[in-house]
Amino acid sequence: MFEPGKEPALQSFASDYRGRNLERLDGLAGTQPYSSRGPWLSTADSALLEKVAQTGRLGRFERSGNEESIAVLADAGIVDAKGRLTDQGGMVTRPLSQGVAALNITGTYLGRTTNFRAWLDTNDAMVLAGPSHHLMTSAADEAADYADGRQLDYMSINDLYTAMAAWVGLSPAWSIPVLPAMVDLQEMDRRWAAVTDPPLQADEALMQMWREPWFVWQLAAVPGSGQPVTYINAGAAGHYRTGVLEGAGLLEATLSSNVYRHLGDIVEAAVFNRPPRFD
Amino acid sequence: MNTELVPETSRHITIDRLPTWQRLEAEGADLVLAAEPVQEGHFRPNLVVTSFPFLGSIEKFSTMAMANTRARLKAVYFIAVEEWQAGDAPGRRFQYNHRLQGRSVHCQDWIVLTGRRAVMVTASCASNQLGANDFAFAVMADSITVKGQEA
Repeated sequence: MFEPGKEPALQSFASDYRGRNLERLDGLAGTQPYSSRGPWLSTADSALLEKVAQTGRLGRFERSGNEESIAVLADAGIVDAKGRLTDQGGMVTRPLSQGVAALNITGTYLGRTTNFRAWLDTNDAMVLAGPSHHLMTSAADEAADYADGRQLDYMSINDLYTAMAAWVGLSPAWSIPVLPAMVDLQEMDRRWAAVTDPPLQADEALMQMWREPWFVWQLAAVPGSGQPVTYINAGAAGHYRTGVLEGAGLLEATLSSNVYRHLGDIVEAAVFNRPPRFD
Repeated sequence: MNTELVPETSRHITIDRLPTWQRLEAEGADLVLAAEPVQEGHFRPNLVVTSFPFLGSIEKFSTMAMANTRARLKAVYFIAVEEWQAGDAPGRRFQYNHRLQGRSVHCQDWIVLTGRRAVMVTASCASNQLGANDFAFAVMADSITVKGQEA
């Protein structure tokens, strides 16, 4: 918060750790939540969307019993009243029907899951996004209302980077390395699902990080080969790459700048069909 | 191929540019550099140096700069804030995206306090061109030297 004439609020743990005054950054995430003007589609609506994207129209059997979903898609300009794909619908769903790749992010917060899927064309993407980091971590009731929902959006690849960053809540943070950096896998699994006590040998940084809200997100290409990439968004404590290493859970503090580049590299590896540059 | 960096001088800092970049007319700024001209409809990567009087801490400047960026630009999305320095001068490196002329633009801002002034170096490229420009931006930022503090 900038107030002229006053010194800004400091991030106390990070400042102590580094021995310098570091301004608070954790307020930023709440000012830049994932935001879309697209319609919310239910699972049934989305299934119908995928069907009509592939075939261009819905047969009589597909139409009967799906009147509600057809109405939702018609409202969104995707189909006409008879369930036929409109020109706009064709454009929006082209990355799905004729795209080169798809990416999926699964997010979990205290045992609840959400996901973000992007179908990619060379220039554009169609997105179906469930409740984002912001909804899941700070508006639990609202997130619950939308649990079955996915917001439909269509954007250029150029805009996808910000969309993905916002959806996982990637915001500036002073990510502090933790010790131990490898924790017992079961302790880690339990922490994903609920706020538990930090591991016994945790240093102060790990204790801080452990107590922050954890939004854990995994990004993978669809269909995927190889391991998904997993990060923990630990609120004020910042961002941590995680995974299983030699039978233990890894917690590797990562600059938000590098997380952003990792996201971008995965998008580009998918769009250009090249190997990822980062592990 | 000429890979020698070309030193450029502005009021308060010197910075090296890539030989393929050029210095442009600096309307209202201390220095403007740009990559080779691009095709119509594409965003030309550029780097702008500005400065203004500032007395205060780096953490205060950082907070002010972010508020200012958000007020001045459209749809700002902050990606990173990191400690940075030019020689002994304290600074910050910001990274954010914003919308400009209908497209997503990625910016890296290196700011440094020189005692009585704040100097801001802003490098910009289209968001999908970050991979192509990241190294060039880093090389140029690495060369930033506050005048009067050359090693």
